[in-house]
Amino acid sequence: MIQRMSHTAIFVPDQDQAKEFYVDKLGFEVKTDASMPNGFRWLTVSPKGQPDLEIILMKIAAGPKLQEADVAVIKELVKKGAFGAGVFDTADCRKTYEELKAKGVEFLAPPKEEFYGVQAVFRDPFGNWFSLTQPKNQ
Amino acid sequence: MIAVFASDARIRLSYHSPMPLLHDDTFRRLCRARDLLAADYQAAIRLQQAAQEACLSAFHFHRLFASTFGETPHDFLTRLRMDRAKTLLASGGMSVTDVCMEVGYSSLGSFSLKFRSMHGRSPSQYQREIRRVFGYSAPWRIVFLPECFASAFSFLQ
Repeated sequence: MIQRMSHTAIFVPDQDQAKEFYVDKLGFEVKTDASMPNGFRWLTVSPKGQPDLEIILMKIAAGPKLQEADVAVIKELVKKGAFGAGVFDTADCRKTYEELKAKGVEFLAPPKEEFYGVQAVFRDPFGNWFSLTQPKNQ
Repeated sequence: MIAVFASDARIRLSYHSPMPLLHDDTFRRLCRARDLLAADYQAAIRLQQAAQEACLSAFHFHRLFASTFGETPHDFLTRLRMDRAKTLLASGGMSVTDVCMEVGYSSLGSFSLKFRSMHGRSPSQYQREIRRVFGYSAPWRIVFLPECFASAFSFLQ
């Protein structure tokens, strides 16, 4: 049986900008940042409260499985907000919303009471969007 | 009907959540203390100082740290030391003794024992294996990079 998730990937067009956003703005920590001579860069970050989950900030680039045309399509879809990339939990959604907003994070929806807790929605600089949820039991 | 289904799914999701989140301020203070420990990972653990940074008693700090981050403060520092040791051993230029001192151990025996318990082989065996497989000039390869991702997204040489 599968017991846990160790890695998951988010497509980003620019890894430097992604690192700045996920580390400096969201407060995640870099787990690995290693570049290979061929230019491939393995960049992973983790939320501080979940150090064993690595989020791969994967550059949208041509490779064995992606042609240049695919790259353009994925970039366009990310930009359009086609990808809901995940849910982040917080103990205080409204406070975190204010903090992130002050840092320039763009919110698609302000905190709102839902039946499962308080939820806001924000996006990274590229278009990947996330729910920011304060679960009801908090 | 759809709303009921969505509601169900979400409730089940929260039910599986491992434990409630910490109060936001407490979590923030714990992170500060963890950063403090990490910044000086080679030094002897400063549990009291870290606990003060978190505004908690040493006992409470230790307990909360372990339940929040999944490892004790001591295990956290040991992991940082051993990760650094692996990188240094793989990068070629340093002897096992130098690496041992660099990551904050004063006893080669304790260092080797801990390294072996975490990585299944002694530091010198690890260094030999790395050199045998990768040679002396490719430390960039010594990162855990799932082969499936490498082959899907990178033109590996």
